[in-house]
Amino acid sequence: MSALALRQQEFLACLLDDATPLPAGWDTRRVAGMAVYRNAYRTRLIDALRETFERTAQLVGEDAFRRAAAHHLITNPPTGWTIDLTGERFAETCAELFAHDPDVAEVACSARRPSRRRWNACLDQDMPCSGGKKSGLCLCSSPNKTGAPWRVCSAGARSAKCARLSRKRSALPKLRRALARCCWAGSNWV
Amino acid sequence: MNAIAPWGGFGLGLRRDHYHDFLSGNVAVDFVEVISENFMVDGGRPLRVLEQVRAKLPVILHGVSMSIGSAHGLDREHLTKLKTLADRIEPLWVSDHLCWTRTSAHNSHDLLPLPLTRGALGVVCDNIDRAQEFLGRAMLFENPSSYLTFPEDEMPEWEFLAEMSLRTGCYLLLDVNNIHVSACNHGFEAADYLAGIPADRVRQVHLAGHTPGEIVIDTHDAPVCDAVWDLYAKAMSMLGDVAVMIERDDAIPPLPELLTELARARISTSAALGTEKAA
Repeated sequence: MSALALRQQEFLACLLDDATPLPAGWDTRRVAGMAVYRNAYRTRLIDALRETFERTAQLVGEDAFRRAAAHHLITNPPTGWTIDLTGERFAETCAELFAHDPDVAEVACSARRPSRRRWNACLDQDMPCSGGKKSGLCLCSSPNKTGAPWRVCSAGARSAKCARLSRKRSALPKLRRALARCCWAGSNWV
Repeated sequence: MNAIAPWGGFGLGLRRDHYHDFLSGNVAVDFVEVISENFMVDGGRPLRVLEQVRAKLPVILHGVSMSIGSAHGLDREHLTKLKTLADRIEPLWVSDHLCWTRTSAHNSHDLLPLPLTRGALGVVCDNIDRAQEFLGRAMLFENPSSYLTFPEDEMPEWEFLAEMSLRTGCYLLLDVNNIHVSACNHGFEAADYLAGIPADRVRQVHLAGHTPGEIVIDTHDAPVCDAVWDLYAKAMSMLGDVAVMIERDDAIPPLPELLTELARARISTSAALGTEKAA
């Protein structure tokens, strides 16, 4: 592996996990710089998840959502070039973390694909109403009276409520170590 | 690879907040720039809006996910979708950043800094050669803002960019705010940076706001500050015809506010060139 590949693997491992030691000899300036990148990474991706899973965030509340999103980013770090894919498997993450409240995963499942931004795109292509009877969420493609190209029906949506994260034993340390090590050859690189 | 001729003008980023303004009237800009990845889709409203705007104005495709500095090469799916978009929109040019965003395993969705080494330069040049060959066009690459440097750095960023452009034939997108941000964070002289850039390879200039602090952060959420305007005037006195753009990606104000800021760029350019050409 080249020096650059090693450096990038090391840098990304530090970015994904505060517990990964920074390279030996880094001064406080570099440590502070890494903190900027870490913060930007998490903020951007949690914001993307919040945008896609807006109803889930409303349901569980901001604090619980942030913790769930942070957990998801560690257990399912993004792999694709588009940030829209960051929400893949988030419903499964919610099912695990909010095991006592199946509605959370159900609401997340209704939103996970396509993402909010893709919804804008797809709905303009006159996609049929997605229904969403179980969750109370319904995406309708027909223009509403205000002329907006799409709307979200939320007759069944509930207001935010407290939701406790599942207290089951976390496998995060093991996952973090695995993420820091893993680097496999993709088949779609040129 | 086909050369990109110098082209002068003043433009803005096309952001969702301003779709209506651009569609409903004639906005006083010479071009718009869009984030390529937001339109690398098969259809939908954003793409339709872009095509409608393209019928009125030249468009620049500015990417954030090529990861030209990745040791693991380029993502063929990303390149394929970018080429499809470029062939559809026929932009003035296609640009991205001198950075890396991912390994073969994970994607940070951030513009991460490269070690400025001979080895990294070789990787970047190989990737640029492949990207330009795949797209069938020369590209522009932008100097990033950065928050750390590496102990193994062997050259300043401006030398890296100059060598990169010489070896690959790519052109440069000079972000004046990024120069200011990195100069503050790393302690080099912005004037040295400008002096080291091959002016004849620059085709576009970016202006933006940032957040000051112990580490200056490139946030694109505020007006261009006076220090960056001063640096911009120095840069424009060195450059020929270039496309000048103001970036605003957060706390996006009403369009007239951005047009007022763009007018300042026109005036500053006129003053820097000592002509009325840009006015």
